[in-house]
Amino acid sequence: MGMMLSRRRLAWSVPAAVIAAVVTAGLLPGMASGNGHPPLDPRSAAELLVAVQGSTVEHLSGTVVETARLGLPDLPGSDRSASLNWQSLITGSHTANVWVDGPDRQRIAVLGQLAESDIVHNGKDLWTYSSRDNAVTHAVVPADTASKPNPVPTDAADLTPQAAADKALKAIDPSTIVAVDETAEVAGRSAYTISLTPRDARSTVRRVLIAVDSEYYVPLRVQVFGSGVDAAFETAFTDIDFTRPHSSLFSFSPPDNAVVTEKDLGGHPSTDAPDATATQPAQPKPSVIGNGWTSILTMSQPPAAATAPGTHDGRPTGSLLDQLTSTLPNGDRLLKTSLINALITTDGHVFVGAVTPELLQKAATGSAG
Amino acid sequence: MSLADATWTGPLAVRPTFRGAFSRLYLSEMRLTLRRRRNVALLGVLAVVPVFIGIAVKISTPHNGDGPDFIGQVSNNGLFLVFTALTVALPLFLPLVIGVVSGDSIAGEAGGGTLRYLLTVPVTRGRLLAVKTLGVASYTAIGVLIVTGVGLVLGGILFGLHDVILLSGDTVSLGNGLLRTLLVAAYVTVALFGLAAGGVFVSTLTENAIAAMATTIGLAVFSALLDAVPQLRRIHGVLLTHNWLGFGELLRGQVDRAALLRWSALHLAYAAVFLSLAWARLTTKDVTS
Repeated sequence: MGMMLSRRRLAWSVPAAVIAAVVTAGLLPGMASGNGHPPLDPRSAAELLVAVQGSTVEHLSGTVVETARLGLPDLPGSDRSASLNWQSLITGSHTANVWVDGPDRQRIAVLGQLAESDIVHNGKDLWTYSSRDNAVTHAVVPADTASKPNPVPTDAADLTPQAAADKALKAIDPSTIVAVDETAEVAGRSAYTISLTPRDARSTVRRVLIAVDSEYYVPLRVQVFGSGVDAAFETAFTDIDFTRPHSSLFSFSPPDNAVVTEKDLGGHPSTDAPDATATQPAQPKPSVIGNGWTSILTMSQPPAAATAPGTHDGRPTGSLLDQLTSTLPNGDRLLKTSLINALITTDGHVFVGAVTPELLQKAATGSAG
Repeated sequence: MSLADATWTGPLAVRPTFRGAFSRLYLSEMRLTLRRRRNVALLGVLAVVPVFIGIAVKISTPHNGDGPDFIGQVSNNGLFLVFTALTVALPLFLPLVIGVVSGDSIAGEAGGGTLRYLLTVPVTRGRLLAVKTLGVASYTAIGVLIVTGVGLVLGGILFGLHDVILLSGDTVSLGNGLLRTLLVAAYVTVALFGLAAGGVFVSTLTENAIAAMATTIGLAVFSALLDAVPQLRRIHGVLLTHNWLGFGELLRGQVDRAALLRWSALHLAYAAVFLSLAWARLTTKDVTS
């Protein structure tokens, strides 16, 4: 009897050991790359800003993960889609592969489940491809914009840490407190962290953290903190390689049976962005009120994005808008998220910004009067 | 008809030696599995998936987004019938077939009263489990190969096989595409092995084969359910079913080998846990029937 029992115990200790081994193997890599603070030579904020602007990195390849935690409800399947539109990037998490070879050749591949969307910039050619509808757009990049570092005029291009950091650094003016935060480890590399804090309390941005590679001074991670504990918007490399990507990556020729739409970038390179779906009517040009952290984007008509999902399953157009927004005493509608707020006035104007609702209302009355 | 009857024949089987016993047991196990009408019918169900999709696409050409992934590509290239069929078969048909065969593996013998005879053949219980597991794994591979093979042949007949447009919009040769298809089939088989091993473990817990089958299929359904809850995003990565459709990685211009290896390792880890549990259960079990 006793022997039977110990034999039993021995047998069951095998699966126990296997489970322990599996769990350990699963957790170890996570612990190794945790949230360490690697020791680095101290740098001042000014030194880091100069270094970032003077970074000479010409080529890199890596994987970028973008996460938005705005507190908006998940759109169905948004995590797995590979859309190039900003509507799909404002909820959930998205992964993209990025390859850069100098200012003339870049490629971004937004990865979805069994789907992918690519933007390929090679010299004068700018291609987009979307696997879901097998659609290609082609545009010729005008000579004057071709030399700019990031002429890719598509929403998905904003999702790289480089683009996000550029935007944040542009916002630096006397209204910003610039400081150096704790060092960080991003994509297996040690990084300095620059912290930007708006002085203006009317901005909903609590602070922006930019992790900068300690060797090449390339932004590796950008986190924008709003009212939540976690970053409301975050884009970070999960792995990065500073060697030159293979040139075949940038030679794109449209598949035989794909529908190719020619786009004209001539007169207005950035506002009339080529849309991956290519079906939306031209949207009214937005304008900007104010500057820096409290700038407000205004449009004369609700963007298609706010209404499109509402029509998706046959519901009336306004229903999603109704769910997301609250009505103010004067009939205006307010959309509040952990970072961005939007005001839709009764006369069809839209005011969007990372600012308090009060400032949006002020802007609305100001522009109406 | 049971495995014991088939093995307990001929003078070789009574010889007190283990040499060759394992492979004989495996071969007779496969013979029995593939001779059972129910199991053949299940493979027939799998073959129907690409046939049905192929005919539907031939009758009316769908556009992308009209149905399962890749369907808009099928009429251009028959090879995509394989991927469409796998996408359709993975959430339901394949788990169903695997659930039935793996759930039946030990419980079926116990329920039929043949397990105790089976244990009298000159193999240890551990080896018996290994044979049963190998049998279930082989059946899984056959199931995946049937979906792939029928899809490939029918797709070739109905739509022709051409150079392959990858998810990234790059075009590769048909040979490259066929190699990728083979790797897709291999990945799907490995990815389903975790569930198959789960079925073998469940099968050691009961003498009721139907209960074991239902529980195994329930494992896949439950995992898919958890996978659909966005609030559980943190655990999605380790769910049994989450990476099944990860075969799409093999259809990109830049194949993320690390991710494929990681996902395969996850399913093999599931298999290791389930099989060690099954081993502990079977070797300590009082077999009365």
